[in-house]
Amino acid sequence: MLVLKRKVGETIMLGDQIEVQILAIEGESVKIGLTAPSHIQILRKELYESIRQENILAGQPAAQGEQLIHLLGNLKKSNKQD
Amino acid sequence: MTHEQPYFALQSDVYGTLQVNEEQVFEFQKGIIGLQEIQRYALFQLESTPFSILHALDAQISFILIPASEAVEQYGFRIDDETAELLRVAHPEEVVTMLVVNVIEDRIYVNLKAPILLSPTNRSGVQFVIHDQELPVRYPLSSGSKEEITDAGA
Repeated sequence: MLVLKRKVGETIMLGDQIEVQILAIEGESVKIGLTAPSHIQILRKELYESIRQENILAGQPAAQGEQLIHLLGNLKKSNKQD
Repeated sequence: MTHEQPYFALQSDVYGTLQVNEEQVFEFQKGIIGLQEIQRYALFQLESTPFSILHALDAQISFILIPASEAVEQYGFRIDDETAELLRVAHPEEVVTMLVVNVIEDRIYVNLKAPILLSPTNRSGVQFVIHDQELPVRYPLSSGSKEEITDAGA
């Protein structure tokens, strides 16, 4: 890991287009300003991890096609009957 | 022969051979969170269900999606300018909101925190994270969570 020391108001460049600026230090917290192109996803790591894990699970369905479609079809039927 | 082949076959480990029309291909410039490198997906409507499959063209990754309007009531959020720009849309009406479905032990869940937004016109897509509301990543789509609400009034 690269470690840099910066003062409030100072900026770090990641490549040509991503800027990380230290805006303020408030007690235990550091306020950071981020500027990046629109295709770069910026998220707090905890949130990133929870969505990533859910996506990975959803993206590789455990059931096979027919079984899965059957299951999804059943859901609709049970909705209709109620 | 310069006649263009409008269809191509996609080999899916889960669904077998899928015929893809170019009209079904969506570009996800940002990828899907955790799968950033996969940017091209094809969308298939599953017959006689409200569900669709979003299948990666270049990987064995596929998501089941359901239109948010079919799954939950009173679901709304603001889209930021960057997302509108990424989807190349000018008005919110041009965006279709889908939820990622997760089937776990025969139960069906949807991700309300990070919906998939699609622009059918531009064939662009993005996974949008809703920051202005506390929403669950895994919300149970019990047999008729939507119907329960309507039934209650009947």
